[in-house]
Amino acid sequence: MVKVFDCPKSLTDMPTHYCPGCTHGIIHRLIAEVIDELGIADKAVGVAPVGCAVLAYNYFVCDMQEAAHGRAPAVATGIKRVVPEGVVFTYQGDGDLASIGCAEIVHAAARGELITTVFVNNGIYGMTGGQMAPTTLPGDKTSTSPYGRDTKKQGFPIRVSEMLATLDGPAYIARVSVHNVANIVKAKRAIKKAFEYQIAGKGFTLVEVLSTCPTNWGLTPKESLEKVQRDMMPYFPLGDYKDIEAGEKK
Amino acid sequence: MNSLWHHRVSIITGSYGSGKTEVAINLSLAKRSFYGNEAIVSLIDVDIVNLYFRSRDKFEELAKRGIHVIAPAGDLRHADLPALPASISGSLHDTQQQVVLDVGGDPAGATVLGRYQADLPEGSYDMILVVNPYRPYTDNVDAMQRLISAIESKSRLRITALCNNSNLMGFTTPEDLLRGQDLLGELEVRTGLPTAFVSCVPAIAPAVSVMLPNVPVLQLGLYMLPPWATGNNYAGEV
Amino acid sequence: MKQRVLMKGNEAIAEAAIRAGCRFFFGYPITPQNELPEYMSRRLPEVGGTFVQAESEVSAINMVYGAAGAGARVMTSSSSPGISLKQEGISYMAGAQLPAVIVNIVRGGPGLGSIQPGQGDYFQSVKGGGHGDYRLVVLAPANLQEAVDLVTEAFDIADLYRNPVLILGDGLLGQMMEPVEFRQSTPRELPAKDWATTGLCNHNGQKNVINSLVLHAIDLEAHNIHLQEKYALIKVAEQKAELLHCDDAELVVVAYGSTARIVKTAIAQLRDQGHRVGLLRPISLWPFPEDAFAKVMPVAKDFLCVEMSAGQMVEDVKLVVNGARPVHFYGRMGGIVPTPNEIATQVLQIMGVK
Ligand SMILES: Cc1ncc(C[n+]2csc(CCOP(=O)(O)OP(=O)(O)O)c2C)c(N)n1
Ligand code: SF4
Ligand SMILES: [Mg+2]
Repeated sequence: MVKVFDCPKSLTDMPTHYCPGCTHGIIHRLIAEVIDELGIADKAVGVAPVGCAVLAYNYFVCDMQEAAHGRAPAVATGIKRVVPEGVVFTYQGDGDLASIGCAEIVHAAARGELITTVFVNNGIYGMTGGQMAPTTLPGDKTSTSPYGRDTKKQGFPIRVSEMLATLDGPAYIARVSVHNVANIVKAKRAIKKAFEYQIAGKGFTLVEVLSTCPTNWGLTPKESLEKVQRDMMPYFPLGDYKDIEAGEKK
Repeated sequence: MNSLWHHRVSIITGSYGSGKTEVAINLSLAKRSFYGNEAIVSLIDVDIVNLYFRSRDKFEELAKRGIHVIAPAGDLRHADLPALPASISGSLHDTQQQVVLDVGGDPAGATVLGRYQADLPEGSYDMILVVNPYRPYTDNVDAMQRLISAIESKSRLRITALCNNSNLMGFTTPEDLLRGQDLLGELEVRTGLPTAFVSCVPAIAPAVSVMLPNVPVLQLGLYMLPPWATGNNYAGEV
Repeated sequence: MKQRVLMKGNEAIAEAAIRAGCRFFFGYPITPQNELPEYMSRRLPEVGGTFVQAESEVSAINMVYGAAGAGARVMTSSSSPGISLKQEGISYMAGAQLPAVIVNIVRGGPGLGSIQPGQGDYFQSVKGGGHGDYRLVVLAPANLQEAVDLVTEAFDIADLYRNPVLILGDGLLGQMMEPVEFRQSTPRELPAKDWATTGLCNHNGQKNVINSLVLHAIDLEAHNIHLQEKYALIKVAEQKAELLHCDDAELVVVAYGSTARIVKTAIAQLRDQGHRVGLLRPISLWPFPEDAFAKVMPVAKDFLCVEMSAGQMVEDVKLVVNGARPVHFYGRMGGIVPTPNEIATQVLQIMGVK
């Protein structure tokens, strides 16, 4: 019998701690598959964030560092400068990357740092109990926007991919989603391209992945996937925002 | 005139830490004593890269000795803000005044001079490069030559002469100045710039005059001393 | 040319770091330490090293975290306000046991304060400016030759114990010029960095993780006990102090860094007048040189602590002296540097009282 489904070699066999139906796990798997396919496990160094993915260092079969909240791009910069032949990636949530670590990601991108960032946008602070994130949609209720995000008082969501695509340092910036199989396939292609561009020395790369948080959204996994498509995708359109091989914008 | 200067305006430039401020202060005092009590001698502190050990720190002391120090006013004296005073141009144009400009180190410190280029037509000033070969990045003739072009391009002015300020502070011997002069001699040949003077503390000045009979000596009373120093002694030991 | 070079404190520290094998520097401009990153930006490329001007001190220290975690000898420098921002990263580095050298060229505080020298960051340096139970080794040079020598020492101590080391200077030390010699030190035997995250291919496929997160209380306590045991070793092995004229000193002045040099001038004057005054100069502020105090206690009748602060190290002096002798204090603040005469007057007052 031919095995058609197997765990990627770059994922440990430790069961992840993610809530059932959370798409963090899928995104981990995609990264691990890409690492396997590119054969880079022995030179990859990952940087875990502070957020639900704080324990990511337990799940990947490669060297890992755990960064302070938001500082993963700075930590990755330090690693990459010391080990230029390594393949360095960060895995960061929206609170981590777009709020407390906004300066770090913008400047790593502007420097064209040869790292790959996987940016998991679930529009909420998952780890700390469902508070408002910089990417929380207008009107959405969270534990710190109990009346719904009021843009007059709480401002607007940040579209990270669009913002970073205005810089000259990035080589590849894309927004993908993992709410269905077709999109998962596309997401993996984007992550692979990002790693390939890093290896080829083309520049900074980032893949923003729209992700779910059934637990703090208070929705079933299925409803959560629907919310990604219905509510998030109109505000955060999918596509390539920068690809220096293909010219600007999709 | 005098063997130490040819023009009313002396611009003291050089690499970072070459001893420009001590040279500038002592040259001001030399001008003052040469022209007598009636003369107005202005020492203009345009050092915007350095923070400690600047001419402005000796404002009161120098005022007593008849030197008019022009530097940012009041609290700004202690700030790391450029805050250039407006009276600088006035002094540069006042033909009655003797002027010494204490410029910040390196091309970075000389950049500010570019702003006064219109006030300083060629032939109206001496621009002296203070050289201490015991400093990193000016320890060989190639490096000195690179420094000259870089300072000239940033300041948009021309260096007219050299000052041999070879020193290891309290540890300096006359031989150190002699060794420095060997390098400056080579630099003279390459650039055509003369050595205007050597500068050293009074204690070794007689010996230096004997060793370098053809170069005038500017004796340095030391002003930029650390707080533990006593008299004219750096207290080189700790 | 002589071996000696005339250098500014900030430059001398930078060059010493390069000679100690430091090839990575991450910093952010702040007065009065700017010459240090400037020198690094010029010099590191000449030796195949890397200089990055980070977007903030927060980023700079986290770049240091990453680089140290990847096994490099790495340095960052700043002055007081910037060091405050680095505290987060320093705590993480202490937790993850990462070796690196951090330089603080202290200025007047609190807040933006001034650009003049100060010693008001003593508490922050030795009592832990960041969160958690951790210690930094803190070395305080008083002259540039010592600064140069201590930089090499700092890198070795950092690597030996896997702990960040802080060089605590002040504006005066950073800005002053002095001739220095870069001499070969006797290298310590240092453990291999087989824990570094350089990629599995570089360490036989065994996975390395740099981390300060320990979820279980029991495990975190065990980790803390390990750290405390390490600090206890450092306390025994790494105390450094200078004793001057202490053999017969009835009054011992305690001062570190630039202040100690001014005290020396005062003591020279007082000795000329026949007063039995000595200096105890802590060089390692943590570990605090308790052994040196034990040496002077039999003769000393009084201690006078002099600082450019409202009195911070004096608390440690009191802890060591433990009520056995009176501990007096004299301090200036806000960037005012005490003069030798001021200090001599204090000494005479104390001696005259008895
Ligand atoms: C300096 C600091 N501030 C706050 C926190 C608490 N904290 C931990 S995770 C987090 C937000 C995580 O949200 P996100 O990055 O979106 O990740 P998610 O959990 O949603 O995947 C916060 C505020 C912290 N660990 N450190
Ligand atoms: S809290 Fe939300 S983001 Fe975190 S693991 Fe659970 S579902 Fe996923
Ligand atoms: Mg989130």
